[in-house]
Amino acid sequence: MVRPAGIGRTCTARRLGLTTLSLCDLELGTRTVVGRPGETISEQDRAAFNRYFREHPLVRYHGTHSRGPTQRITDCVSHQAFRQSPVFAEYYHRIGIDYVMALPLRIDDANVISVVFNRSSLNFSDAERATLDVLRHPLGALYRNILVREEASVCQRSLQGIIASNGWHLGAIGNDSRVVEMSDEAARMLRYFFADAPSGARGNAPAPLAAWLRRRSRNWGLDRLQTAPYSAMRAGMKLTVHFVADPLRPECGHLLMRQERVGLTARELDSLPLTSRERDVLALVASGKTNSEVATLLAISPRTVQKHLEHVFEKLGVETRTAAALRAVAAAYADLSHVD
Amino acid sequence: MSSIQALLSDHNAKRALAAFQAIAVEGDGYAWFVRQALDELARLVDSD
Repeated sequence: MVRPAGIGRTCTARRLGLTTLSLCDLELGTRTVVGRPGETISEQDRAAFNRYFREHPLVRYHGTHSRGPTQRITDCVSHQAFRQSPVFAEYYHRIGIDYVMALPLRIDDANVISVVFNRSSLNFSDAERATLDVLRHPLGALYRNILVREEASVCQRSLQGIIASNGWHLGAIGNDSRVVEMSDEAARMLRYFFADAPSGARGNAPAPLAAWLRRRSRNWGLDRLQTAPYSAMRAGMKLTVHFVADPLRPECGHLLMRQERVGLTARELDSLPLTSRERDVLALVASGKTNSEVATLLAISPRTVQKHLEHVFEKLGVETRTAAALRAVAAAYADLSHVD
Repeated sequence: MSSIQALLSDHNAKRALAAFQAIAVEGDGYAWFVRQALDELARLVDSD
C-alpha cells in the first residue's frame, strides 16, 4: 500500500485519501503500485499485501470479471467479512484503511490495472462509484494510447541513433509542411540544396520539398507507399529524402535525409590552379573514370588525357592519380563546408 | 451496470467529464499521465 510517510492507525483524519495505480499481473500473481509524490511504500507493506494477493476481494472480482465495473470491497464481500479477513488484519488494519474501491482500466485478461481509492472510517458512496465508472472505458482507451505512444517514442529515439550512424539525418514535419525540429546536419543539408531553406532548426520547408510533401500526403491511392523518395542535385551532390508519416496525423511525420557524392564537376575544382580542360579531366578521374573513359567522354585521345593528367600532377605537386583525386575531393568538400 | 449509471447525477457526470478532460490534455508521457490521473480522480472522489 502506498501512503504518506508517518500516517498510520493513529491518524485522526476521518478520511485517508490515498489513491494509487495498481498494475496486477494475474498470471504471475504480482502487483506493481504507482503512487503520488510524497507517498511511499515500504517493503513490509508490499510483502503483507502480496501474501494475500490472490485472496483479495477486488483482485478476485476483476480477475474473473474482466469487463466488470468499478467496485468497492463491500460490493464483493460484507464489511464484517472483510474486517475478519487476513488481508485486513495484516495489511489494511495496520495502515489505517477500512474502505477500498477500484476503478479498473481494461487491458487484457491477464492484466488488471486499477486506480485504487483507500479511506478510513467512511465507505465510498453509490454516487462516487457511479461518477468514477463513467470514466472506466475512456480512461482505459487513454491508458492504452499513452502506452503505445510512449513505446513508439522510445523506438523513435533508438532509431534516431541508428539512422544518424548510417549517414541519415532527421527532421520533424508539423502542420502545413513546417519543419518543427531538425538536427544541425539536416539543417545544413537543406541549406546547401535549397536557397529558401530555414536558417535554423525550424521554419517553412523549402518550396519544392513542401510541394512534394503535399502531393504525397494527399495521395490516398494504392500507390501511396510506392512514392519515390524526393531527390535533388547540386554540384555533384545528391540529396535523398524519405517521408515517414505519423499514423495518427498523416500530414505530419519525419523526413529522413541523406546526401551523397555522385561525381565531381569541373566547376567544383575552380579553386585549384588548373586550366579548364585540366579540371574537366581531373573531375572525371576523381569520379572513378579510366583514361579511356575520360577520352571518350571528352572526345579527345587517351594520350591527350594522359598529357593533361601529367600537367595536373605537376601543378598539384602529386605523383599519382589517386593523390590527384584526393586533392580534387578535398577542394570540392572545402567548397561544401563553406555553405553556411 | 445500468443500476450504477442510474445513480449518476448530471452534476457528477459533468465533474467526471471535466476530470477526464484534465487528464487527457497532452502531457509529457506515461509518468505525467499517471500523476495527472491520480490527482484528478482523487479530487473527484474527495470533493464529493
